[in-house]
Amino acid sequence: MQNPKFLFLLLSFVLLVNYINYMLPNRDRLNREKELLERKIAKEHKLNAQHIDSKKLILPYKKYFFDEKKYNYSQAMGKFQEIITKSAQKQCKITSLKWAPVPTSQDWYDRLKINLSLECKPKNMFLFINKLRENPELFYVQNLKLFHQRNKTELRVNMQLVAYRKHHEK
Amino acid sequence: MFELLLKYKIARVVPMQDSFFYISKLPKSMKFSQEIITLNYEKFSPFPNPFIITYIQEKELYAWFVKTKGFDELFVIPEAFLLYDTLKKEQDGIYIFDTKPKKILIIKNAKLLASFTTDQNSTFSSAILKDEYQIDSSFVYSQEEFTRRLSLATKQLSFQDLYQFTKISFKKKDFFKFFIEKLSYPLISLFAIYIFITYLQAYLIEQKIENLTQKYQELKSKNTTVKQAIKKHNKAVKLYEEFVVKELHSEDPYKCVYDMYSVITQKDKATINSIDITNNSIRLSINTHDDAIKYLKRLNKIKYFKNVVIQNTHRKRDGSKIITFFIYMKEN
Repeated sequence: MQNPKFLFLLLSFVLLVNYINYMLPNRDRLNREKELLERKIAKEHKLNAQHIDSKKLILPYKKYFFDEKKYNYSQAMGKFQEIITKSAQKQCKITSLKWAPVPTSQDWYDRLKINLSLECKPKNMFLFINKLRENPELFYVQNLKLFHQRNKTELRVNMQLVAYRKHHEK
Repeated sequence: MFELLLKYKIARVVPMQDSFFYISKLPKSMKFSQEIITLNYEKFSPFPNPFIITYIQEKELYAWFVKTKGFDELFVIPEAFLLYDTLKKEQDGIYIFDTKPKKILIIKNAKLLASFTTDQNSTFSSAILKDEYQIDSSFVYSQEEFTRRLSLATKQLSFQDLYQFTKISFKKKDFFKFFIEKLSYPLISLFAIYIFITYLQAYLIEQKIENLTQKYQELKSKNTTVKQAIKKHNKAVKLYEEFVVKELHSEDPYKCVYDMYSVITQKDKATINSIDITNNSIRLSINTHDDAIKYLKRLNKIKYFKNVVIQNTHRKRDGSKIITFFIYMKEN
């Protein structure tokens, strides 16, 4: 035990054990971190090389909706009705137009519904809908009913027209 | 491996001329301690206090006496053994290596019977040896062959043979002493090298990570606008996709009307009385003199119609019929 070589070896061994237990850097973790960073950089490089124009990423769908910023519910419905009457002019006779109750939906958009009754010739019925759809806003027809009226050349058309009002992003 | 031991002076080959060979028969294959060997075989040595190298093969004990007190190396192997190792599988004979001095090995039944050296000038007669050992053949090899065989033996020396020539005594006390004396500095050096290498490795990786992080931050800040735009775009796409699925799921009623009008041609004597499209179902009334099946077939050809059924047929006074079809549409 008095051998200095032995004491030196013992001391070195204690040092090594302590180094391994408390100071040995976790090289696996560091390597993983390095690899992760390299992957992230490669991804960023790839994205950078694509030269993406962020303006092109804006979807052109806003125009299909009545904008909440521009129209409140009542104004939107008024505009909707105006578009319908304008489209029906010279094509069909509007016999009834009724607004649906105020929607209570929690979605990012409101359904604007108008129940519409028209009298028109079959061809004009299509002309009316074409005219309506010339507007940028989206108009969706629900529950369409057509029937032939006795002693009349015009068809009776009942439908529910739906347009959409987009809520503004908060 | 043995070559490396020689290179780093952990092993030594004792030349034939420096050793005296002795062979002894054992009652059975056994192991002896160095003390027992010295006690039993020292008397056969021509030198006083010799260093004895032994090798036990089955019931034969080969001993080589060397005129020295000891060696520093851990493994001491006689040159005669190395030569014997390459010759033992060959036929019995007297093998003479024409070196300076001449080296002679006598092998019979794969056993080494004698190994000795003679001077170049001495009168040496293999006939006497042939008579003595009752061997018929003798072979003379050149200096080159000697070198080749020695080199071959060092390459093919087995671990078991090497173990027999080790000087290490595995007694607990001796082992500890050996361990401390011989291995403490190499072990300390190994510890130090290990600590240095691992620390250096980690340091270099950390440096690399630091550089990469900086590079990543730069690139990331460059791409922030585009990333935000992509995120916004993806969110919008998801929203609009959900909107289409939720709101625009059924076929456009106007398209249905148009397609159903095309079911009746100008040649048919029929008129559509009414069409009622509610959600995904249609009620269609046709006033006609024709058979209902004709229109049923045509309606069935419309791709987005799933089930077409005749709900009722009402005959009018003028002989015409009002046929009501009920149609289910496929969901988009």
